[in-house]
Amino acid sequence: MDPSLRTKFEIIRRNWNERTPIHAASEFYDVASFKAGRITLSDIEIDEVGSVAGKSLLHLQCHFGMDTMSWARLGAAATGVDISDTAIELARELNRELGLGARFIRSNVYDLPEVLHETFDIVYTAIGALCWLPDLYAWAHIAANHMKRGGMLYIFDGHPTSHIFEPIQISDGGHTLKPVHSYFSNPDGIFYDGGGHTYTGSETIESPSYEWQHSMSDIVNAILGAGLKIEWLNEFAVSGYRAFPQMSRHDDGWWRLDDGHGTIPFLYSIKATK
Amino acid sequence: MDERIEINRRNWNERTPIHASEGGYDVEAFKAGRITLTDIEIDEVGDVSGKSLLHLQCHFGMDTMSWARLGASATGIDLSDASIALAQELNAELGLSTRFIRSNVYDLPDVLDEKFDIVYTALGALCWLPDMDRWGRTIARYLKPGGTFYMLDEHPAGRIFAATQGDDGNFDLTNRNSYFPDPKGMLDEGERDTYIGSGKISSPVYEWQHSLSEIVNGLIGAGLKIEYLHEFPFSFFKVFPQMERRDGWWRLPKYDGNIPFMLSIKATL
Repeated sequence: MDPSLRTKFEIIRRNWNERTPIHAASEFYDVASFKAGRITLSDIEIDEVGSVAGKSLLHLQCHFGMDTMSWARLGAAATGVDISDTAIELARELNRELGLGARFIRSNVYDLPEVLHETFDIVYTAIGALCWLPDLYAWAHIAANHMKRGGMLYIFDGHPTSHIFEPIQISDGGHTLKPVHSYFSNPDGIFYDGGGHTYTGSETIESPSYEWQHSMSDIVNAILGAGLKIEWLNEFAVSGYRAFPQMSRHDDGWWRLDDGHGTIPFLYSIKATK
Repeated sequence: MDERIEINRRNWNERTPIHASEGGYDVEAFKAGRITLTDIEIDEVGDVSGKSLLHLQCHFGMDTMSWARLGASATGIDLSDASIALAQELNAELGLSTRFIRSNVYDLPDVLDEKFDIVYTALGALCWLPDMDRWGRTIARYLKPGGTFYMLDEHPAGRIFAATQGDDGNFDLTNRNSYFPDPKGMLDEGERDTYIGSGKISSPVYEWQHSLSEIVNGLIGAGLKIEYLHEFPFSFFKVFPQMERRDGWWRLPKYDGNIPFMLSIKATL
């Protein structure tokens, strides 16, 4: 691997090691209700992945594993993988405490073939995953190598179109969206200094990080390039968090941009088969 | 029959002579031998010699006849009577032996029963169609097993913006139109420019927005396998007055390279 990428992954690992205890204490993740039995997956994921009972499932970039263990609660033999040491430690601790029988492996996605030699019925990755990966073509090959023949890759993540906007205030006091960032992929990634807020609230993350934007064509072509067949692509006008101030939260729990200006896709899902 | 398709047929009958006139599509250069297809299309479709090609929504057929000039056995279909009449006239004058059929996409099976190596559609086509599932099924109906579908058209994310004046007085873009499809479509009426810049039209027309997922799933649902999706940060027409033309494509200097204005898809049956 390119040594500069190694450095970037180490930066990301330290960043997520710092985030884990903050996220675990946050209302956003609400670990207490998870412990009490909550399924943390969204209705979209549960509906689109379908029944997982008796199936083996590999969750790439699982953070501290509540979604992985939710799949286990729904009947899957679940394995979660994450780059962060503290996230995997916490996942194992929760798994033990709750007796859920999920398995957790600390590994960067790109190093996974060195530590895991199994194939799965389902390879799953979700919200806030692909932006931490520089190369989707290598990622899709690894995902495909861990799929059984006839197995499924399911992705549910932030839509590249939603990443280009920043809100600006307009004369009536409302907001509109202005394109600020490029829609297209940037192989070098974007460097973020530490000192910003993490997405669960106002806590500050001191360590820096890298993120990568991926266009829909790069996502789709990476999956096709790994020899997988795309079964569908879905796009959603809803977000799991308040991405812009003009969004409102609906009874179903999803945030929407329904202020009369044009709405944009915030999430997408892809199902592909081997 | 969908009344909106009839409205669009009358609109395209009105547009055709304006587009064919001086300052429009440059018919004279085409008559002199010009290939009107873009580099992207020629490169991505590949060699068409000896292949049968069906061009959906061909307007007055210069692109269809350009594929014929490149060796394809080409058939063009369009909903406009005036367009097909002009296409047939040019074809006869230039001796290109391209075939033209007047039909809207959805009713084509009523008048054409054949299969093709290539089904092609491009540059301002999908926005005139209400339904991507029926569109996908029509494409699949006309492809030979192993045949190729190719499209190059507007990117849905490039269609959501309005040009506005920012706080600094400079041109800016903001979100105005929804990215997502609305099956009712959008009615455009009143005297206005057609997209070539000269000549006014007054007949109403319906347009439909299609999301990327709607397009992709329309093809997959009809049994096609997606081979690739490409996205391009420039357009085939002047979407905003602030656009500038470079290498034949319209770009927006302020956002150059950052916004997808076109996409191409190749799929096989």
